[in-house]
Amino acid sequence: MLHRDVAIAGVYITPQGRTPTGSPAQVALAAIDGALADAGLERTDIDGLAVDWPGPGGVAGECASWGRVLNIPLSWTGDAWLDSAGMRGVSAAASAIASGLCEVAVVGGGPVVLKQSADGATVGSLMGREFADPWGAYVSPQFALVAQRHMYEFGTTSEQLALVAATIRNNGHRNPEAVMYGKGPYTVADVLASRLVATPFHLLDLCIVATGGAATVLTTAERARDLRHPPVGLAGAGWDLNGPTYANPPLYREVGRIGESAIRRAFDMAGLGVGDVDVFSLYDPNSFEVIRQFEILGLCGEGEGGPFAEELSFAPGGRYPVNPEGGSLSCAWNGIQQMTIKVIEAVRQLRGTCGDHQVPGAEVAVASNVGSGSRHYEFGVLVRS
Amino acid sequence: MRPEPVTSELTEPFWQACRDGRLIVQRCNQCDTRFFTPEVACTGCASFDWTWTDSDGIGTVYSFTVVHRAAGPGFETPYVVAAVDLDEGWTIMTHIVDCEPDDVRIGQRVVVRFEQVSPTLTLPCFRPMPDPDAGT
Repeated sequence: MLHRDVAIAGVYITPQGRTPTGSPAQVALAAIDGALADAGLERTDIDGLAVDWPGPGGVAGECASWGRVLNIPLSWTGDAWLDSAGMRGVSAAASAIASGLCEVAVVGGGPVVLKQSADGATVGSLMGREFADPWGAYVSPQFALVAQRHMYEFGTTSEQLALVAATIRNNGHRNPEAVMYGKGPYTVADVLASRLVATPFHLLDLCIVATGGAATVLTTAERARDLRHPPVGLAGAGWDLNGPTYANPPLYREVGRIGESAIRRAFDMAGLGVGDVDVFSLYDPNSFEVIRQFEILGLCGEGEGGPFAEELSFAPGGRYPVNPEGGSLSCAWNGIQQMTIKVIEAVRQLRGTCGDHQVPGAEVAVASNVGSGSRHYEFGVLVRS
Repeated sequence: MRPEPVTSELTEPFWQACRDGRLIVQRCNQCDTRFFTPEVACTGCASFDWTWTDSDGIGTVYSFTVVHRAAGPGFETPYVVAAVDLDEGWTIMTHIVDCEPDDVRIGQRVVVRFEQVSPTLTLPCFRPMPDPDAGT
């Protein structure tokens, strides 16, 4: 069986915001139940699961702990943490379904307490990395090291970064579901006038920090045909990993093209190319990563991502619309499950249920997770079946 | 208080050397690769046969960021996080010190300068190399 014989049948995003709507386990269960309801399935239909168990009780970080609380036998579980979210989790679950290890898998969860964080916070906090923490090198400065080198080598400008941030943030400004709904609109000058966090990043170049959960339900394409929504097929996926995360300074020469091989693998698997894509759900922890992805996607050459941004084909109505819901810059960011939200936005676009930010007639969507600063990248191609 | 690294048997010699004012790095006895951050095996050939060796502590700024939002208590902003390529062929995350943040440049030549953060933590940071033409 191929990945395209697996479908995403259910999706759900719990309310996102600054304050939690429940304990991590409660939010995770709300995400699971929401995605099952969206698919028209019951808890007892699940036989595969990649949802981080947050504890207390059970064994924190062990997906199998959910089996006890849900009182269901499981024939497949993912590893916890990153494997329970986004394109990594969805493609791993699809592999399990395609190989026959399980038939209905749920991937997602609630806010995850970072295993190695000193204070349980996420962006902006230290991560328990022995050779980064003492120098105060949290996530944004690490990504900034890559961005700054790109600017040095290719002449990418702060204005180009700000243009990306303002455009995606304005998508969220118009989306009632976005955490930052109505908080704009933003101009390039607004982004550049916001306070500096870590050069070249201003506050508005960086994703928001909120909390919430999300989940997807996958099953065979055959079974998905009888469920509530037209199934969305996973036509291809790929991963690209480059050593431990955040432990060493991310160097452009090592990670500047990270994800390129994952994208190639996914498109080859799908028998499609970037020119076939109608909507791009790209990981946007900061403005620069979007510019970098223009390059590794092959929309432009290496170093040309800044000038490509100025063409604004990634804006609403453009040929390559990126994050029409507002992305992590404006719509939702919640630690780990924002990766799943990237997949869900792609699914909703292909279902045609995105309302005011629907890309008309979308048939092929891509979703990506993470990037250069964290040394891993996952990518998937989704199609309307 | 700045976070103190949780060290291990593998990494403690590095931190002890810093407290002694010496910068050291692992060098592979099989393929001569110098590698950092510390690993149990060489990142060039996976050999477990390596030794700590002294570094001259001279290198070049590969990239940097001026951090205005502190990582937490104990950090005075702005501070400059940098990736410095040592001339010996290894790279370290560090701070650039002893100059205005706005004066830091990619390609700048730098030399190690140890900063004692606490009785138990001495950090290898880097400062601009004195300009050989200065004063002439």
